Amino acid sequence: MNPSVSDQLAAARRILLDLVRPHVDGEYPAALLTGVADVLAVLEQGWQRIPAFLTDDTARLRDLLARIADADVLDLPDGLRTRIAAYVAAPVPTAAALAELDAHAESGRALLAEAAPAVVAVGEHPVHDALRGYFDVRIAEFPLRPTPRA
Amino acid sequence: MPPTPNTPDTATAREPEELREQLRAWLARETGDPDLAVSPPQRTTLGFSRENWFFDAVWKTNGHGDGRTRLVARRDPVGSVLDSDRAVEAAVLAAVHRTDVPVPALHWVDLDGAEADRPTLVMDRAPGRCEPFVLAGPLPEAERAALAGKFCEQLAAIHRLDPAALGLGGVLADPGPGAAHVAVAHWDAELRKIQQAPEPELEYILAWLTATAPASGATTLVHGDFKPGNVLIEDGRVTAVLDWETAHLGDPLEDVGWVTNPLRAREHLIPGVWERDDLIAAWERHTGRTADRLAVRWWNVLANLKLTVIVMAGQHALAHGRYDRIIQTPTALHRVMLGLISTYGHERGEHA
Repeated sequence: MNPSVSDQLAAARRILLDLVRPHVDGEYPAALLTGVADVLAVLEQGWQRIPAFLTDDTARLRDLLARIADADVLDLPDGLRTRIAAYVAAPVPTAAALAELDAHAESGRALLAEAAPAVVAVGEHPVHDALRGYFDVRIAEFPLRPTPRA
Repeated sequence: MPPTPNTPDTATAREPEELREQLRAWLARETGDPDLAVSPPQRTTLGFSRENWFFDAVWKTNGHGDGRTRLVARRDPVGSVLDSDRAVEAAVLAAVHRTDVPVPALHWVDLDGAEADRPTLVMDRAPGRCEPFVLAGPLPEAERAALAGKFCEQLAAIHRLDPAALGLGGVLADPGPGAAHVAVAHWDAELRKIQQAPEPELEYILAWLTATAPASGATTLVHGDFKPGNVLIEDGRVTAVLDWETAHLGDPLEDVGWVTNPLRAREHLIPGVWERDDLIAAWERHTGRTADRLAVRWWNVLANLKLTVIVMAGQHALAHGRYDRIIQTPTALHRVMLGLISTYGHERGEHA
């Protein structure tokens, strides 16, 4: 794919910073323009990793949800175990259908959001450790992260 | 307050000139000088939640004597990272101005946006400079340490004020010993207003905060966003404490937790010279209170939840065309909060 998405984002950022910004009067609009360029940099660095991240994160999320549903010690909201079981049993969209995969991931995150208070309430327990481990990996792998300003 | 229908969605090139005319007309009526002149207002990058416009005004009092005053108009934006009440801010500013805590003199208040489209406060531009990262800057270490001490003194001075004696009892609600629970409920409610997707990390953190909320030992005025970036300094002294929009009654440890937030250590601490323990100990000396270290750690987590909700509110307003600044993902804040929760667990174990 040429020019690549990264190339085009980099070019747009260069134009904003090198050509437009010197002609912008005022501290406030100049700061806004820098913010726009920063976001272009984040997208430039991270967009390629989004499909793999969603695929891997969804796999980890489904494993975690299955484990939560199996943990009898958790006082989960009524019906949540059943909905988790249905989610885990459903087919996972591939990264080729990125919007569907994203929606699937969001559905799983909604189930996890419902379960999280019960996991906090149980205190020290392997399923609690599993939840924290999932959070840690997701944060570490999240593809869109601010890059230090040059 | 919702924006008026003719209000532009975001900043436009014509906005400063429109605001200049609005300010001129408003202040001319207030001062009784129809020839009052106003310089072109300059929007500053200070403050993420309100518009701050610097301008000068020149007018005659009783037909004689030129007066030139450096002013700032603090106006509600159309979309903001934070909902707050200009009436409360005005009442707190007026009350604190009667104390030894230096704040800008408030001159005129437009609470319903009749004068400048949206609620606006006009106050003195206090002398001094704002240096958000002065403690990490090029000043000699001894000067930076002295400034850090001055900042702590000012924070403690705020916590020594008697809100009831200042007449704030009727303006601000006293949450009593449940201040921590009230704070969690407040930021939970703010989150629900702007949440755009499921947030399991935040549900976990909210549940943890609720389960471990400490009882408040005292109710004081809480600044809510105390930092070098909201303080003006001149010749090594604090000339003004700014940005009282989140001031409220609560546990003073909320402010202590805010200024000891590890995420913002570069703003508040000096490695090896003015560390977390030094700041807390100095605050204890200046207030005569004891700070429960575990409770401060809890308030550190709350501080980052507050920042997270503010970041998300900015993203929400940006996505809806009501905010100009691009704010990036709060994922890093999740990492900080979860790390602090682990630290709290270790410290609680050590204290047991």
